[in-house]
Amino acid sequence: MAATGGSAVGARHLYVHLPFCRRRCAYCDFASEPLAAHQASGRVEPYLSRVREEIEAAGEILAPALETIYLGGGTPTALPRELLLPFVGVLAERLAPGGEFTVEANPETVDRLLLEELRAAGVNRLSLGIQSFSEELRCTLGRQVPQEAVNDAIETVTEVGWREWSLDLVYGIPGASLDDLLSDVERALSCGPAHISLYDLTYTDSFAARLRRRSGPQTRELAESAAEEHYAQVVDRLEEAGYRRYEVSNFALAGHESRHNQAYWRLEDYMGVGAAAVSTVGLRRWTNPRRVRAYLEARSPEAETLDERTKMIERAMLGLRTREGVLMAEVGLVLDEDGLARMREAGFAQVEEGYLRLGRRGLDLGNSVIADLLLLD
Amino acid sequence: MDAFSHIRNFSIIAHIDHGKSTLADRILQITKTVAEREMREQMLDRMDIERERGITIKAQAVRVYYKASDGRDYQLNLIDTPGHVDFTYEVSRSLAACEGALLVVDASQGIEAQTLANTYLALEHDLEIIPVLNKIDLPGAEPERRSEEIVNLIGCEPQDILHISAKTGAGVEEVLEAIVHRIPPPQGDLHGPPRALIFDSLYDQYRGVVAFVRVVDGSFSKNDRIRSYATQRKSEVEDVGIFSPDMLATGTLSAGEVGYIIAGIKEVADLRVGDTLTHIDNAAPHPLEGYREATPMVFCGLFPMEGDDYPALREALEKLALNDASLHYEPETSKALGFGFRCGFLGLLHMEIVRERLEREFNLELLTTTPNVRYEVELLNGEVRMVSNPVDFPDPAVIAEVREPYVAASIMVPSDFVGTVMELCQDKRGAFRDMEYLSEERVRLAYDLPLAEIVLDFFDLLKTRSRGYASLDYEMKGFEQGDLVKLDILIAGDPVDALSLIVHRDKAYQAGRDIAERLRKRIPRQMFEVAIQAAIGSHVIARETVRAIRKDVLAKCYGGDITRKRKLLEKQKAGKRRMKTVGRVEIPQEAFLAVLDLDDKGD
Repeated sequence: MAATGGSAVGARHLYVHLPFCRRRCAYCDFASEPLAAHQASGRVEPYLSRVREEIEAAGEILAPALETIYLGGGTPTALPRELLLPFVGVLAERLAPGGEFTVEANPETVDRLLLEELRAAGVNRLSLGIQSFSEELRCTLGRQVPQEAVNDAIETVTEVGWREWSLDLVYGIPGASLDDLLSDVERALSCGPAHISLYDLTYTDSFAARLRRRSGPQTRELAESAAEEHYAQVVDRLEEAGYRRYEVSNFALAGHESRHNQAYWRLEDYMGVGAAAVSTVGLRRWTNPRRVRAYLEARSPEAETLDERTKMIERAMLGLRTREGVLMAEVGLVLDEDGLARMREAGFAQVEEGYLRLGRRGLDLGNSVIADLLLLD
Repeated sequence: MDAFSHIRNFSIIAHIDHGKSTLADRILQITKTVAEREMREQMLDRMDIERERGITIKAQAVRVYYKASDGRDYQLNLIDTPGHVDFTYEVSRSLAACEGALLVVDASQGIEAQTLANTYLALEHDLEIIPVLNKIDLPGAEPERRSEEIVNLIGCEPQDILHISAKTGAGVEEVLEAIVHRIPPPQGDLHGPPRALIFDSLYDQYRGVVAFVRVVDGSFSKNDRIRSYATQRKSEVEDVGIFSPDMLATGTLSAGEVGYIIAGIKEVADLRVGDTLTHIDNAAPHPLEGYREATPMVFCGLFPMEGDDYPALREALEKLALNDASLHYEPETSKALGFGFRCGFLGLLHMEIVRERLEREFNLELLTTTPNVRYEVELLNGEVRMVSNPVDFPDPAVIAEVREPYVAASIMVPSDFVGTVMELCQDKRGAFRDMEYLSEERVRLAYDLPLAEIVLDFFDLLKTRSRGYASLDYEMKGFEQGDLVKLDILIAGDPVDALSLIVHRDKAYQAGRDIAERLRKRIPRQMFEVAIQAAIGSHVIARETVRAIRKDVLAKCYGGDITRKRKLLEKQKAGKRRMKTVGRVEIPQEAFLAVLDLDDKGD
């Protein structure tokens, strides 16, 4: 496995970004634009064509047979199915046998037919953004999805018999009590997904401002301290239920980890296509224009060249987010010896069989621990 | 006619803002010493800090020529003195160079403690005092009442007091006439072995040390071979002259005159205030009386905020010391604050000025440890140690007795505040000595107080509790025994050297609790629980805890934001590097500042 440097066969992981959403959720900081407006001005189809062109033009950058494809957004499933399904079909042609093809979906956009058709088109993994089972908490996030839609979506996924799916939860939503937190987790467990992502709420500037405006200046601080208080308990509960925390925010039943995301955390080469998508191949990294319009104008991406040391730091930073950790030999040059000794002594980091990895408490304090472990300048 | 009859040497004694500099400006104008177009405010105060704060740090001298009403021309030498208790010795030398002094009092404020102390100093030197009530044109002026106070204090006649407005110039001519007619001319031996009193000196980067002198006997001319008494420094006069107000070479200075001597000397420490200059070939058998070496009274550690600035700080201190013989410094290493200097100052103002000049003129950011005094510690084995750094305070088990410096303080306060001020003095371990009504509404209190309390916050509290009306002066009195202990601050079990304090046992608990709390508020939560303790020896007297962080995660990190996340991580690491590490605890500078900064009352 070549973790650094380009590989002769090209990137084996492809990320495809479809930035269209029915409406934007207040807390989200991914590139997202209103679907209806782009439909009205006829930009959706050109967008999909442009993505296909990008893939075709990639040449040697992209391996002919892909190990993973991830179709994210936005809300890919918000697209009219007559556009989405053929597009998915084209992508699927690039997937190697046994490859993983994930599509992100929101509850209000899935039904039985769509799920079956996606599966038929080659998608074999679904990531369902629930965020919370409480309508009120979803509303705090600015995510207006009726309760029935959530219930229906989960029922549908179960009925279709789609086992390989992930359920996304947001943790630490302002106003959530410990009961709310635990009941979200219990509900998630009862749905029986193979994979659960538990994302600590990230406050974007605009979301923080919105919260201040709506609920007062103290709300964020209260929410953060409540979230901190119960984090360990929630993590414990998931692990207890058999979902192994294989990355800071990701939990999976054995063998059901997201292969695509693991590729990022191992800093394998990946190509991203679509607006705002980022690619890293060897020491080159480039970022497509963030806005749909700019992307369609085929403006050139922003490129940066990484050096070996930077790449090593990234490799360590990403690897240390995972249970797997990182090979000491691979990142030795960027390790802070004093920090390493302190973190090991405190039990936050361990070295076993040549791998450096964070322990349970170490992951909870990841930012601080990783900053201590690495030599950065 | 005697050689001195046309010379008058005088200084001006006044409280801050009572109009000393304005009066000096007016005198320069009336005598046409400075052309109208070159006139600016506070003509004699050269340093920015002096102008901004309205204080005089360095003595200045200026010669003016005045044609008096008797038709004769007089040479008047004005010696402008620093007006702060830190510089009492410098003031005494300036006064020793004069035969008279103007006592300038604001007609609405009345005489203040500092002024009174300097007036007594002038009386000790047998100076003729000319009391002047200034600002009589202002609405709040109460000339009668203020006159009564002055009469009571210095025993003059009410008609001796001049009423002026330095701002408008009203009455300033009368002041000049009084100088001529009431102040005696200097005395001395014009032909005896030469002697000159150095009443101040400054370092000029092109010319070396400029000594401000009053020639007492004989004369000093260019190329004379001279030496100083105390420092035994020998050299040759390169230039000699007067201040007009800029330096003006005259080739010679004779007995009775005031001016400057430049002798190719590179450090002010070689020409100390109070020392006597004489000729090598025709040496006077005895120096002038009154020399003593300025000794630092207040000490603190100065550390650069950025460790890289240490060499710059050393250079800056070297430069300041060229011009300030009373500034003492030696390298100090603190586990918590890194490399810095232990510095000794004449007093708090001196400390503040040095610090301000370091920051302003040398662009340094500094962390100053809590100022302290010098203690006399007698050990059980009879050895006596002088301790000016809490770090060096011996183990309590081997101490027989600790003695601390005391001052005799004189406080002038409106009678309404007498109770409050007495309470404050009591609280600051003061011993009552005397109380005197200057008039119905003003009182002078005399207390013996530990210098350490004054250094801590006495003056600020005095000002606050008297709504700014009280004024303070003090002089050193000697050492007295005190129940003093070293208070250590421990973070996660490690003592933080820079935070140790020597305090009275009765105050240790409060101080310990206060410091521990301030630290708790400012030490960010860490990966571990952090215990903050205040201890005397091994006895913990206060404890606070900074709770551990339990969650510090970046929730998402995928292919799209690796660069951004790496930058965040670099930022976090840089933030950590800016902190000082004590044991495994990272402490931001602000936390030290919060403890060390006396003005910070916490929040």
